[in-house]
Amino acid sequence: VRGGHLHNEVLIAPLEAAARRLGARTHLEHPVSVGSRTLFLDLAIFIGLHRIAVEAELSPARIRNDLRKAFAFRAHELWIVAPNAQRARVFRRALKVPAASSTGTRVFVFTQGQAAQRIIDSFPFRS
Amino acid sequence: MASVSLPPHLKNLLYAQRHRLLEDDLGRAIVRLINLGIDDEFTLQELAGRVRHHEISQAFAGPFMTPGLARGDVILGFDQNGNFVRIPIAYLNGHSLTLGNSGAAKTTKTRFLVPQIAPRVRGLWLFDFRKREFAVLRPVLQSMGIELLIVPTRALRFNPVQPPPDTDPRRFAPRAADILVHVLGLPARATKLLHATILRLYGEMDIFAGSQRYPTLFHIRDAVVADKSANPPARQALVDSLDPVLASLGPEVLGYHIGWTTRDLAERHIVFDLSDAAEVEKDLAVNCLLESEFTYRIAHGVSNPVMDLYIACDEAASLVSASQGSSGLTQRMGLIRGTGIGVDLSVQSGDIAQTILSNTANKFLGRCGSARDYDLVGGAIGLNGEQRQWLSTNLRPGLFVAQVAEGQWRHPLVLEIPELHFPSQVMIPAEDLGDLARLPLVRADLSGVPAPGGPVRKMPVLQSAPVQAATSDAEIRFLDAIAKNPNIPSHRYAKLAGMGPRRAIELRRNLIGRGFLREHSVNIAARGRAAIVLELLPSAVKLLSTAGLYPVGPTP
Repeated sequence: VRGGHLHNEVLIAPLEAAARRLGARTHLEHPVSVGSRTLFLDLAIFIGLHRIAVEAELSPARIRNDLRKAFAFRAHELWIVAPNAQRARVFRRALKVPAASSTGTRVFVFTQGQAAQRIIDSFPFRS
Repeated sequence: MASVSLPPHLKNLLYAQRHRLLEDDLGRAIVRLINLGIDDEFTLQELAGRVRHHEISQAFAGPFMTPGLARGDVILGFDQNGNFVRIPIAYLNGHSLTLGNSGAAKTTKTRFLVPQIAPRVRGLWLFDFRKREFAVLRPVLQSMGIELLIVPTRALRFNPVQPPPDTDPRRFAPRAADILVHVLGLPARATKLLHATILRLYGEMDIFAGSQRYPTLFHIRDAVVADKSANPPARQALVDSLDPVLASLGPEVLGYHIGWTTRDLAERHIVFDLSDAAEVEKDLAVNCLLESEFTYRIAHGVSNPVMDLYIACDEAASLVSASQGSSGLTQRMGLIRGTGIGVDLSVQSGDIAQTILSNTANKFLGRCGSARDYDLVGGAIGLNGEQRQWLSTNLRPGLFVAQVAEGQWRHPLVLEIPELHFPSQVMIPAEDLGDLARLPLVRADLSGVPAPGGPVRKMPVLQSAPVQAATSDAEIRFLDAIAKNPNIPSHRYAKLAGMGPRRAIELRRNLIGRGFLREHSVNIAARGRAAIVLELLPSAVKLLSTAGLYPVGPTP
């Protein structure tokens, strides 16, 4: 995973570990074809047929790029993980998503703790 | 002069001619009959009927005349009565200026025109300066069989000092210098320095002998830095202004002896998405593209051809501003008139250079927030007092007062632009270069050129706090606790390191200040306040490994 300690070790790694522990298939740096280019999702989580794209962001600059990747990945959900609630609010303001994308991707902005909680909630009988 | 009392049918004839009511076959027959003195009952009734019908519709139309613009291949919009206002596409060759504040539907007007213009021109350049406004037209043009390429700033491949094809480099050098001075906001003295440097590099790189290994901006910076005899303030200003641009756009965008030529671009339909670029980068890209194409056409003596390139610039304030000095566009606007380029500029305020006002024959005035803006364009399109008064109380989003460039009807007219709806579910790619990606480029070898940012004079360099060896056992214990228990809230390290919370806070601040630790604010839990998470920096890892407490290198 490209990125610094905060991005890789604090935001992404615990989510990947939690998802794997609960039985989901995970893939770090998951390649996605966007047009003629190959881009990489920070983390792809597969829960059965449900596909979740997880992108950790420290600034809102690359959110548009995250959307492109998630739509190309045909993700059911895109989680944009912010380090804290203050940044999450900034991301939500910056997020201008069409009402519904053609792929039906639902977009969420979570803090790291909220994302971890959602993983646990996705497996109600195992956690 | 004594007033002449005319017979009613002549008054009707004059009225009808003034309002272009007799331009069909029957109308022309009526004029001919009256001129020949054949004023039979049918003729006079037909004439009177047309005049009466027009007078009634005019009575509901406010102070503006119902426009006599019903023919042409481009629909501008609707008049007060809901009829199409049409013009021939050639009128757009006279350039257009749209003034209206945010939300006046300037962009909608351009979006409405573009699908009509696109099939009729060889090239279409749409510049998005603030928001991605034009990319939504891609599916619309696609359904018409037209490929609309989307080129973001970082995908551009151009060389600002590459002369257009078949252009004398000696004549292009001062233009390139002028553009760079304007774009980079350099002092006048820098123009001479740049001009001389470009010519010198052209000479050194055998451009005058026919070589096409044109210097890049990186070469220019290098040459200016090396020129110790140059005027120091001009040299320093040039380097200071050029460095951020070179660092930001980098060799990927600017590092080409031969980049894209506007000859290639002028044959394609392109959205230049400059919305994410810095102001200086936008100015550089736009001015270079426009200047290169203008120079090419003027140098080739292209005169009054059919319009084959339509350029629309949304939010073009920086290009047309009177207060920010002259840009390449303001200087060339008069010259490019009649070179087959139609330029459509839209701005929010009346800060418009005189050359732009003088040389944009089509004018569209939308809702403004300032009386000065109404007066500026209102005066230019010949509004009377009543019409100006009408503007401030009646213009709303989508409603414009306009004047068209050519033809016999040059009265101001009211124009309504229909509301456009684009499907929200269609994803527009951020980049689609199409066959532009296959255009031949000659990349410059910049290995011998110092990277931008190298100092010309001794500059104070900000450095992180000097790292000092941590000697106390408490500090080592604290760092060791972090290494063994990473990414937990910082308050838990006090207990893990065997010390009190106040001592732990003191140590933490001390270690952060000395460059051993970095702290991040992270919401680790689903609720509650953000915790402070500590990151060990390489100096701390080295210290721990020296003490035999931490493996150096990748963790197994």
